[in-house]
Amino acid sequence: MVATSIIIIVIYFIILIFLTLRTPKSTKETSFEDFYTGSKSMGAIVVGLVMLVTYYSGTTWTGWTGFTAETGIFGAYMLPYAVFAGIAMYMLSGKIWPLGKRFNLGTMADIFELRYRSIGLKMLIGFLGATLNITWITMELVTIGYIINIATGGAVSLEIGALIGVVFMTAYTLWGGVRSVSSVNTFQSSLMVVGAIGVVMYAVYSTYGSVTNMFEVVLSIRPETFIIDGAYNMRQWFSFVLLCAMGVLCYPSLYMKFYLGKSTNEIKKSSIFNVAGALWSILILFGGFAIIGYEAVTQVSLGTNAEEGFLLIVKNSGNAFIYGLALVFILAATMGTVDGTLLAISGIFSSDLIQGYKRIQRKSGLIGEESYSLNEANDNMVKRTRIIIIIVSVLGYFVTLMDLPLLVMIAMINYQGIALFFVPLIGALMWKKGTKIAAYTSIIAGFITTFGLMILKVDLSGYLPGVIGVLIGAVLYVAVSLATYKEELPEAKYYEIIKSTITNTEKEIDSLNKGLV
Amino acid sequence: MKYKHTNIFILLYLIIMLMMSTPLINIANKPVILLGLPMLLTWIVGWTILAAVLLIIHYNLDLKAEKANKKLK
Repeated sequence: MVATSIIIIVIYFIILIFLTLRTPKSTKETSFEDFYTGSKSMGAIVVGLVMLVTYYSGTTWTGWTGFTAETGIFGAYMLPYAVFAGIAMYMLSGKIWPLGKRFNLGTMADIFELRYRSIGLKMLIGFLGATLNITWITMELVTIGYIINIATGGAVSLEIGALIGVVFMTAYTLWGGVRSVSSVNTFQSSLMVVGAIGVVMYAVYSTYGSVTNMFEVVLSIRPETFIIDGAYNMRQWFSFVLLCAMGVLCYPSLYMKFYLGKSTNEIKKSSIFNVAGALWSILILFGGFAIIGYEAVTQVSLGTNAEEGFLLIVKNSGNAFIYGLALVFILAATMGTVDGTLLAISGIFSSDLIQGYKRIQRKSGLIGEESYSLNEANDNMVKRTRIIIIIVSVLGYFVTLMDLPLLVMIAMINYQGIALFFVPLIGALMWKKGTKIAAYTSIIAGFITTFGLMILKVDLSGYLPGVIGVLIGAVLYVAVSLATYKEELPEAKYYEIIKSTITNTEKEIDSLNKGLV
Repeated sequence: MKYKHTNIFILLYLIIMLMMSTPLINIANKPVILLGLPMLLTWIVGWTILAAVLLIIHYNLDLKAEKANKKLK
């Protein structure tokens, strides 16, 4: 079984090398926009697959199946939030993509600068987004180390396993930026989708005979796992769905996908793809429920660590190929999440933070003004982003060596912070009266509330602190905007520019960019 | 055309609300199996499929509207 797993994983790494090498290597002449967004040139299928693999990480197959095994049907919250996020992405794509195309935007913080006319606010958004997103790298590296460790029968330690993953990902991310990441991720996402279907169905059918049988077994031994019982759990459900849906759109690694597509329609199609793709995620639930009923059917214990349960079921099935396939698709899912996150965070540090600071020093113009220039040629932004990719990889790796609590819980803490960007983002795109001061107030107050409640461990009867944070942030955003709004404010003027850009067709935007109109 | 767009958006908002409030809906939150899946999961899967179909319809309406606009220009 170990030999088969090693062979499958080696083949997987060879394919990654091949896919990386066939992507054009970025050079000194490569612009930051091309390195970070591929000059907005990708089709819906590539964007959809890249998004899917960023969304459903490898942790899903350890943390989420374990979480479902412990909480039952509560784990299904992933479907509503994926649908919610997909619909919101569909609706926002018609606004965010044209702005990105017209003003060469790459990160979410760029939208904040464009609309609220503030580099300071951009840097705040960039810093908070990158800091919260960076923990995903750590979480996923733990999974990479774990997968390589068990694939080799313990011959490769967790630490060395994580290191192998880091080296590969850093190498292909440095090679061609988002182009090589997308090329590799299209393969990884396909492998994840097909592999998960094959492995989960094999595990369920070989253990229970059918999906229905599995649920019947679970219903007979633990019927409470079929419902969400009590007001506390219902509030938790509402909190999880709301915060994850808002948070997932604002995650830097997912937000940047808005700018990968070659047109608004491509992004819309990839959003639909992701809503439909949410159905695929029920396989994760199947994995969790398979753990619940396993001992009753086979009289074999899976131990106390639910996060390892699904892989143990596959291993116990005795099919070496399926076990190897399970390990490799989880590895692919993990690598697919980390590489995109690595690139997103490095781009934020380079463009939003370092370049933002330099622009403040130079007193350069804001996005949309004639005096605005990213000055990428002089400042070697691509080179700097590459250096940051290496630094983030190394830092992420060392954090991995520490003890970490249940992975789903870390993810929820991140989501609660990131979700606080949602209201000012929507306000920036849809409400003329939204002001810079209101955006600052909303985000800062939301963070203080959310993390204050977390630190003080206040009992909210099931609601997560992030819900209170988002609520307070939203109320303050509206109240402060109404109190500070004036027609002559620069952000009010730019709202009109944003509105007119959104109504332009792609050809009109191209003409504007070439200075023909 | 715009009327249809608005109706689809209203339906999508409704779907989101129904999915978010799933535990409060008695018929969905029951320990029974329907179509081979836990009732709550069948409920959510049904709305997910409907949401995807509505988005496809909306996208096609959008394309038609775009073509009509181009002809007008």
